[in-house]
Amino acid sequence: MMSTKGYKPESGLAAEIEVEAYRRLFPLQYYECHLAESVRPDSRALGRARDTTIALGPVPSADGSALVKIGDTTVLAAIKLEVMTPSIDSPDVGSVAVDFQMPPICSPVVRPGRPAEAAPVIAKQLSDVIMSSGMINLKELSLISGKAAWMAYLDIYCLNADGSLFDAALLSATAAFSHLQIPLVSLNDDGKLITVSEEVKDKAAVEPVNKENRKLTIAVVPFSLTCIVHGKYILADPTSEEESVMDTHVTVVLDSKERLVSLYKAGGAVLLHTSVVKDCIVLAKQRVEELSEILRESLSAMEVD
Amino acid sequence: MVHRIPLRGTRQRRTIRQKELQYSWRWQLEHWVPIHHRKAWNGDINNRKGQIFKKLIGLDLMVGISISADLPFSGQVLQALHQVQHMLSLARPRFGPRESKKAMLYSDVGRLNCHVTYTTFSTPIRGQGFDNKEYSSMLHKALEGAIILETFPKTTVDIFALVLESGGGDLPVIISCASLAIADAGIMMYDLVSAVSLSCFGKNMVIDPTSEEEACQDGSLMITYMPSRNEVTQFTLTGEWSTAKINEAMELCLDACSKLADILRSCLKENASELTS
Amino acid sequence: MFAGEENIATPGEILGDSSQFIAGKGTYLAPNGRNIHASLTGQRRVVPPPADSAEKRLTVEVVGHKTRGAVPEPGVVVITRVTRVMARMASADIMCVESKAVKEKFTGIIRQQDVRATEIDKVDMYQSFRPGDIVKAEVLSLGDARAYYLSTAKNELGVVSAQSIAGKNSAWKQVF
Repeated sequence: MMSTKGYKPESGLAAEIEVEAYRRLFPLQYYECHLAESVRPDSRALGRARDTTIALGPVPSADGSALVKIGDTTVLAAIKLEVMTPSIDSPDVGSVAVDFQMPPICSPVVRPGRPAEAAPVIAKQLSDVIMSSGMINLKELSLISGKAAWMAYLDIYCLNADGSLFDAALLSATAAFSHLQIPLVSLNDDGKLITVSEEVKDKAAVEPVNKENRKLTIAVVPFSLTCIVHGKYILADPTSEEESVMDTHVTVVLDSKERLVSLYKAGGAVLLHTSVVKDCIVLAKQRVEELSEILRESLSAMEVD
Repeated sequence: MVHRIPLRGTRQRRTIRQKELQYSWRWQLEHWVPIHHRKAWNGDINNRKGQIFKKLIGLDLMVGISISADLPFSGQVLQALHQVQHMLSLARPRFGPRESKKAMLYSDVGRLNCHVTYTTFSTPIRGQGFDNKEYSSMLHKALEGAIILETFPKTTVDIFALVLESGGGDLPVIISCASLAIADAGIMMYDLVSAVSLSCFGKNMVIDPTSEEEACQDGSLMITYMPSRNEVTQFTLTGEWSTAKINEAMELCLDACSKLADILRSCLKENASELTS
Repeated sequence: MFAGEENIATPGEILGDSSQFIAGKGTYLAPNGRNIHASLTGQRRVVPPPADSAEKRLTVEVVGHKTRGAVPEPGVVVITRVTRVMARMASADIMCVESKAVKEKFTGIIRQQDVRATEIDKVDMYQSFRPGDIVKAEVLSLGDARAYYLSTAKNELGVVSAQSIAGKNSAWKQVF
């Protein structure tokens, strides 16, 4: 439940209204009361991220999918593969298209018919991180050099937006790529590629083009942590309420070998000292350990089944 | 006597709608179904939708129903889902009533707004995610009679349904899912609304069809039903039917609706007792 | 309170007969005048009639397991934040309904004649309100299509917290 430990009514008005109403009317004061006691309204410590779960394969018709929950933030990623002709410049690589959607179901801020502003920003950031981190070797998506390669459509839907959307989206993307199972394809008589269903794959008539290599080798996994900096406080993994009250956000992306992939600070009222940035990176390092453990567990649970 | 109504999904679909052949109204069933004509039904729906609804809730995918988050899909359920090739849909009323739009006229009763959206990966071949306007209005019609709109004057309740995977019988799942979400959100309603569709192939009938079955059906029937009031909120009939077969199909659908409603109720109770205890 | 599954009602469930019970909150009487149905999901509760009334039937009600977002109703005291002040009225966002925070945004209007009870034609809106003020008000009516009509014409109502131009909080600057 709501922690009222750090709550000090500051005036006559505050004394007579409920805590919930005070939170609504004076959000900044409400948060500052809590921060002074080193606790957050959801009783988390400042540097602590919310509980995180990964469920692999919630969309059976997709080639790879994952549902990620960080606290109440819920994100669903699905990958569908399609065969395409690679460009002449790079005949032996496939391609990845990333899209991030925020349907109105996810937040009261998003109105139907008006797409959320944050969505394309997150999509671009995701696409940059996935490409620059070297997580996927695009050559593995090639089928026949110069003729055919896989186009991976990664679509991420935010089902409930409660802060730290980029972290959840990146985690769901990496989980979906780890879960990705490349379908078998073979050449038919006309020289066109057709997918081979599981039932007929043992027949001698069709020889799959890609018999081995049905999984992508994911060399390094990027993980991210968003922090809010407010005064001398650093809050890890903010909720949407915290994001709306305090506006200096820092997103740190580290890979599983603890190398910095990207660091993103979008303006905000607070200018950061390098020591604060270092503190954010330390928090992100701890988070990477947590997240890689969670991802490893969910992957091994899937192999057992 | 044979009723000839063009099939849904054919080119004539637009004309059907113009002629208002897709009926949507409420009426007492006692006058329609001969009571002695009851048939035992094997409860197939328990194996299909029941599971899916329960899993949806368990996963907290139905936002608003919150159970501990450590219930991810197990491999077995996945298998079951894959076999029935069924559809997942999410619905939720949005965060309680909100202020109606400025442009609208003053109204003494509440308004209901429905939006049905498909994800890009919901169809077998990846497409554009799109809003389904037809389903949105059907969802609205199916639910407006069940919600006590007088309890929130001047305000609007939005219902968003997001189809994650489409595998046939989409609309009935969306409707049942939405009614479950409304009941959970604490919005007053006369009764739960459960919906079931049925396809007919010559002499045979299949309840809760898959999309392959829907593609080659001769006719289809969808009923949305308020079981404890014995009232139908929506009735859609397309294709070629004889009067006798319509009666039989309705019997099957209503029976399935009652069973589905029992499942929905037990989901709600399970969840509510966990929240209160 | 006993919270077993069997004591939880879901919408539509028949709770009893009108010969024995009166339909209370969260329930309704069917058009046939006999059955009482639940209209909410939640705890079923039976309340005995007040001792002095002639009514002998028990009242059955359903207490929702979660409340929907609060909605302003006529006669209710709300806490608002002033957004715009005009010559004849001020508009304000309703933040709390009876000390409960609202989840969605609702707008209210305080008209010049509703600011105080006496000398209503001498009210200067610009002297009474400033954008950002927190105002306690009563909902007069559902108002027009745009907003709820609010009134501060009571002693306990009015501006309860305001920022001076210097940015300091000066609480309890009442209209009176």
